[in-house]
Amino acid sequence: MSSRIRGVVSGALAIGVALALAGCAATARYSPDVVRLQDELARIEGDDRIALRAERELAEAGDAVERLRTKGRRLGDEDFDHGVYVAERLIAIAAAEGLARDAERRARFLSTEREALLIDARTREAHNVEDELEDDEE
Amino acid sequence: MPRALLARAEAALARREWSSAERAAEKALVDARLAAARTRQLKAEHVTAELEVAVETLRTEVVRSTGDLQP
Repeated sequence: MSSRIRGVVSGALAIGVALALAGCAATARYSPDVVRLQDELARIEGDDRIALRAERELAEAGDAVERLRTKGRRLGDEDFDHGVYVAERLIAIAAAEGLARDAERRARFLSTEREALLIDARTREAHNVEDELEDDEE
Repeated sequence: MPRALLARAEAALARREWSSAERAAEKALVDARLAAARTRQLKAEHVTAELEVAVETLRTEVVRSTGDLQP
């Protein structure tokens, strides 16, 4: 009798564990789309031009991917596909914003350098004219 | 693309398909944001490329004029 009770208890435990594992699996959705989005997000996070200059956009994209991973299974196919579409765009927005800001920063630097070179060139030109005038006077 | 999505959102709204309208509107919004960001990126990269050429030309001229001055 006791072995029968033990059998029932262990059976119930096994079912409980199985249900708990199924519950865990249901909370996350590792579809190929989610994995692809995670990879793409990780790739642009590894690019300093983007990581340093598009923090807000990267966080927004990261939230969208994380929402798909954790709540994706509860979504219908239409909502899941929509979430993938939005997350893809948010990642692309983060990349474009980061690269735009990096290029704008470089343009400001080059613009300053060009001004300095122009001043340098004009100063040399003025000195040359000055020297020529002095030579003529002598 | 964002305009077409916006038109789709408006049509769904008229049919009182709220979820469909919301999805189309959100797609239109992210597409418009992406288009604006890419435009800004391309413009900034174009300006940077032009400045790089201009700075390189000036550097060459400065080096040449310095060389000309040397006896």
